[in-house]
This record gives sequence, C-alpha cells and structure tokens, in this order.
Amino acid sequence: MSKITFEYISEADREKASNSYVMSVAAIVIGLPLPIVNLIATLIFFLGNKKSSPFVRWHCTQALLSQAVLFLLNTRGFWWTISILFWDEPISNEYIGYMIGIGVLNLVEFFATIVAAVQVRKGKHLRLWLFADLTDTFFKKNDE
Amino acid sequence: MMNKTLFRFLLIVLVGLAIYAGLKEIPWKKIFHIDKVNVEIGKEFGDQMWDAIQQQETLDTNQRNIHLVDTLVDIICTQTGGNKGKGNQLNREDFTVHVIVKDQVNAFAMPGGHLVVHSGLIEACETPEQLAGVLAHEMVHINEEHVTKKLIKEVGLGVLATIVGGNGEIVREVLRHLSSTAYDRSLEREADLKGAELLHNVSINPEGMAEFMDYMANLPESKSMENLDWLSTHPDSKDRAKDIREAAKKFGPNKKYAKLNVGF
Repeated sequence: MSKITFEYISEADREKASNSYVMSVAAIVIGLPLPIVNLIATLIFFLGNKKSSPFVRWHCTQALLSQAVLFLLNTRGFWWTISILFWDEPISNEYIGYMIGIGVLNLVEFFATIVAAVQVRKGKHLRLWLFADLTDTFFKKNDE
Repeated sequence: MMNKTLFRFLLIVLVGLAIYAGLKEIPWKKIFHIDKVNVEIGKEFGDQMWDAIQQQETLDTNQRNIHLVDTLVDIICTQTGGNKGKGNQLNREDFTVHVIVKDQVNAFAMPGGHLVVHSGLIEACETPEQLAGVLAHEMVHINEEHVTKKLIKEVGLGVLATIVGGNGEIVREVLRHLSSTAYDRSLEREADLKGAELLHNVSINPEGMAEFMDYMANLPESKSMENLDWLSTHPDSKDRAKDIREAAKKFGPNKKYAKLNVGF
C-alpha cells in the first residue's frame, strides 16, 4: 500500500478541506472545556462532505481522526476534574501530571491543526504524522 | 504500510505512557502548593462556621472554664522537654479554643484551628486528665486537617470553594450536616492514638482519655440520648478506651505520670 496523493486540487476543494481543520480549531475555542464539542463539529463537517472530492474527504477524515484521539484523552481529564470538584476524588500528582500532559498535547494539536488549515488552503497535501497513515487506511477501506 | 502504521501507533502509545508515568512522579502538589490551598479554603470556611456558631450560641464567660481549657491546650503544645516529657511539635497559634454554654457533653474541631468545647463537657470531666484527653483528640483532628479532608470528601472541593464567601445559611446547613455525620472510623482511631501520644509526650496520663471513653460508654440510656451528638460522631467508646490503654502501654510501659495541677 502506498501513500495517497492528489494531483489536481481545485480552489473550492482547497477551501473545503482547509475548513475541516478550521472547524475543529473554532470548536476548541467555543467548546472549551467540553471535549465533545470539537469532535462533533469535525464529525458534522465530515458527514457533510461525504460526497465531496477525494481530497476534501481525505482531509476531513484526517481532521476527524486527530480529534477523536484527543477526545478520548480529554474526556478522561474532564470527568477526572468533575470528580475532584464535586465528588470525593483528591487532587493527586497523577491528576496534575495527566492534565499537564493533555494540556501540552492539546496545544500541539491546536498548532498542528492551524498549520494544516493554512497549508491545505494553499493546496498542499499536508500529512500529519501517524494520523495520515491511519487516514490512508480508513480512506482506502471506505473507497473499496 | 499497515505494519508501519501499527508500529507508529504502538510507538506513540508507549511514548505517551512513558511520558505519563514520568509526569505523575513529579511532586506537583508540592510545586503548586495544592495542600496549602486546601488548608486556606478550610480556614476560610472554618472562620465562617465559627461566625455562624457564635450567632446561635452563648459564649461561656466563666473564667475558670476558659483558663482551664487554655492552660491544657498550652501544656499539650509544649515543645520543649524537661520534666514535661519530650514535648510536641505543635504551634499554639494553630489552635483557637472557644467555650460555649451548653449542657450537652461535646467538643468538636473545625477547620482553621477552631476548637469548640461545650461547658457541659467540662462539667462532666472528673479529672483534668480526662478533659486533656478530649482536647488532645480534637487537636489531632485539627492538626491532621481531618475536618477539611472530611468537608472536601462530603461536599467536594469546588462546592466548598464556592461556599466560602457565600451566604451564611449554606454554611449553617453544612455545619448541621457535619455535626450529624460521623468521621471515618480510621480518622477517629488516628485522633485517639495520636492524641494519647501527644498527652504522653507532655507527661499527661493518657489514662484520662481512656477514662473519658469509659464514662461515655457507661452513660445511662437517658443520658446517652441527651448526648447523642457526641456518641454518634464518636462510636464504640468501649473499644476505643481499650485501644488507648494498649497504645499507652507502648509509649511508656512503666511511666509514672504526675497528677495535673491546673486548678481543676
């Protein structure tokens, strides 16, 4: 299996594909601290573009996958925080370490998503490490 | 490519777990002074609770009672040795003692170092050692921040932080709730044993603490009902008296304690 590439990308496709990343960034800003909001936003955009060109669909899938991983980690952090605030869970070094870890990861993801949105808008087929490979796998399976 | 993707996925999971394992070993609580924040929230709340109690209860103006309780707390806080034993590492300023006029045999600790003693408890004690026993027990609750920990456990840190600075009615409601529920058995045991040790360290006979437990255990039923509050928060007095006596034997098997001379 080789990497998926795209030869001609129209202006409209560049914009749509770039928007899939912009959606998740905008949703992070709006939806904090609820981790589900950015995932839902990306999912809606993904489903809305099911009939778009392969380039758009590929980038919607990459955006969705990167959000889904972050969603799982953020959800754990969200409920952990709730249990500290409203139940009897104590604040531990483990909790603070986890929150700092996912905080850094969210920042990295945030900047990577902005870079992806800008580059894709310019028509470059930006592949995020690991997520691009996963996207190729899912993309091919869906296309078969 | 699938194998490569899987390898990368596993690699990132392993790196993630390794980073997490490293992060959780860092003493973040110390770095961010988390416990200090809890203590400060507890202190604020304790001050509000005391304000609420002050509005409802009458402060005891009997100088004998006030002097007696203050002197005993002073002695328990003695830091140097000499004929007072090896002393305790307690700061006297961490404890504010209040005596209120109430027949009920009760004493309780609140966050922020407030130690409230009912005049009925002072009357019920037959020796100063018994009173010192109850005070030492409550001082451990304060020193180990048991009340703050219990509050955080009962209402959650977020709610507690919101209540602090909020209206007095909520504080009174929490106070009612707190006085009607028991500490964890382990916290009571810790307060007994550490309290007995505090007494031993300043040459006060821990037997007084055990005697007071016996007194509570042997109260006639009608009296027990009157003092239900203390009993419900301090269960199994007989067992506790036994445990205190056993612990005292370990502190100093043949130790001879002088009788307390505090104008009792």
